[in-house]
Amino acid sequence: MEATDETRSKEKRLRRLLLAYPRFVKHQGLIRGLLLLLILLFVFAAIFANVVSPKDPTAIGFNVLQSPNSENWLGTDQLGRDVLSRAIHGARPSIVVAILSVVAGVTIGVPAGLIAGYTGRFAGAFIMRLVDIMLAFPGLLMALIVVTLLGPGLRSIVIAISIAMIPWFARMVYGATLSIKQKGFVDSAKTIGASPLRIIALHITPNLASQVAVLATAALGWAILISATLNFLGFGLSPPASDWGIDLQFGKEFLQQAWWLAVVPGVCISATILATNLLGDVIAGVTSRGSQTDPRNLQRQAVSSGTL
Amino acid sequence: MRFTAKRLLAAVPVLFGLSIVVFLILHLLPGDPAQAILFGRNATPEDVAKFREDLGLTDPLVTQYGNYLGNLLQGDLGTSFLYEQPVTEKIFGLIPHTLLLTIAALSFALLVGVPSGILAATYVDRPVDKIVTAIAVLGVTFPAFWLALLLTRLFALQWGLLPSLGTGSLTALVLPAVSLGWPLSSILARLLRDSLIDVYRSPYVLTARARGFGTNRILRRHALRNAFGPVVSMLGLQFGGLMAGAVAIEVIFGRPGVGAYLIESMRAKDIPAIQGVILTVAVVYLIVNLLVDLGRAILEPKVRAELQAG
Repeated sequence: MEATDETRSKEKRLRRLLLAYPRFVKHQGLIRGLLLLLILLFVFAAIFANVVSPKDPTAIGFNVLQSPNSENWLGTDQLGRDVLSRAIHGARPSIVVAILSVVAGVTIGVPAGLIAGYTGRFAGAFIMRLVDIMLAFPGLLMALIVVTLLGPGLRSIVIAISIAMIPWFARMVYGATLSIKQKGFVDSAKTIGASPLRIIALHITPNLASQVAVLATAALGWAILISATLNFLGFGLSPPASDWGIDLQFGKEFLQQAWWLAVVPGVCISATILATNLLGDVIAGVTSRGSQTDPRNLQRQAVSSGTL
Repeated sequence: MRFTAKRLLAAVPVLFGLSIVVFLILHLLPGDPAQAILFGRNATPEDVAKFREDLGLTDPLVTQYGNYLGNLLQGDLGTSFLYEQPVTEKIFGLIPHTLLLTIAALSFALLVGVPSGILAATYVDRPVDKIVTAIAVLGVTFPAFWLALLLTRLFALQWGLLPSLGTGSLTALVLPAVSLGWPLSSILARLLRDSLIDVYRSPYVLTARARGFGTNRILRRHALRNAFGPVVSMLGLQFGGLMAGAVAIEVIFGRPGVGAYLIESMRAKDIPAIQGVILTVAVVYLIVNLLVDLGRAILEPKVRAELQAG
């Protein structure tokens, strides 16, 4: 009796290993639910920050470094400001930076990759060498350089992060364009006299849109992370502004007396990155044709791990 | 061998481009670089003019770049404004600290990530797999600097188990290395898991199974070697990230290092120092990726053929 159970379980395990099972079918209900909730929460917080936050995030008070209590739900900081209100307002710069910089990165990176991949030749080689050079700097360093050159402020952060992202999109689109270009339908389009612009717009772009979408979602999380890092290091917004990175920097100074100062913005950062990563997984699961270990997916995973 | 030479040759234009970009940083500062650098140091107009002369800023751009490149090839990165000391010297003194931290973080990531990845892949869909995957999914959402604060609070301030500052002992390296390596260990675990699952489904593993080899032997002799390809590529991609991440970690833990020096230089607008650090990091990153390509070529004959052809 035992032996049969043993064989059966082995057989089951083997079958489970062997059967190609789509990774995202499992638990997708739970993941989707959690994800939707988190994203809605942050977007809601960002848009209605003024309405939902209980206090003015910049209002200084006498009750400094209060631990969480009924008056200040998540405590107060070293200047007596309400930590919860600052966390809610902190969603704003993060989400604005993430969206704007990804849009800018896509708008510049994708056409650059398309041109390089489709035309090949001189322009292509030139663009790709430029991309190689940009990729030789780790993303965070690239962003730090740009912010140092441009000075502090939201605009600088957005420009810095999008410049760091452009080469990713350019490189990915370049690779995809090269392989799509060789497909039969592109040849057919050429044969019936379609212009390069038409081929790029109608035949190539739609075929790489899903890959771009996947990388762009991962890039959202990365942008939030880098913007927090820049702010944490003191190269971003100027202090009275509420931002998770800035608040984390204060939290570092008061780690011993007031743990909530660091933990609240930290959890906000983690939760936003988690939300964008889950969104990326779902989009990748829906659109992906290759496996997760495919070289094209490595870049996305590297990006969503945030350490790039 | 031919492959190695080819890769080395391909790195030359990138290095050349790097030197141009880094050189231009000085000129991309808004306004006059000399004035920007001397800003807030009570410089008279004569001082500024003299400083400009000293920097060679009055020469044509091409001449300036020529001089810069010439010095660079001799290993001279210029003189720090802040310390009035050769930048090369300073960086060489600091690089061992940063490399130690990066390598410690990398080792931590491998030591934790690889076994958990194998464990998860071996027990796919079992509780072990689910726990590993859940931790890995959460792990990548902790940026190094936030994890560093959390760990410091718990292990150094709360329980007093590990030092939170300094470089004296090996125990002082634990918190920085773990904070820096944690996200990477998570991503490695997930990647190796997915990669192993793919390999487990491949025909040669099926053949090995059909011949009655045990799970262990299949893992060691067949699967691991092939599943490691993506992991090695990822390590290359991530090495730059580790070095960049070291910036925040060094600042938080008060460790000397290239990253802390970069931040200090950026605050002081010490251009030669900024240029020097960035160039150094980029070159180290390039070398690591070169080594990763070679490593992959050794690991996988298929990659060797591909790289040789391309």
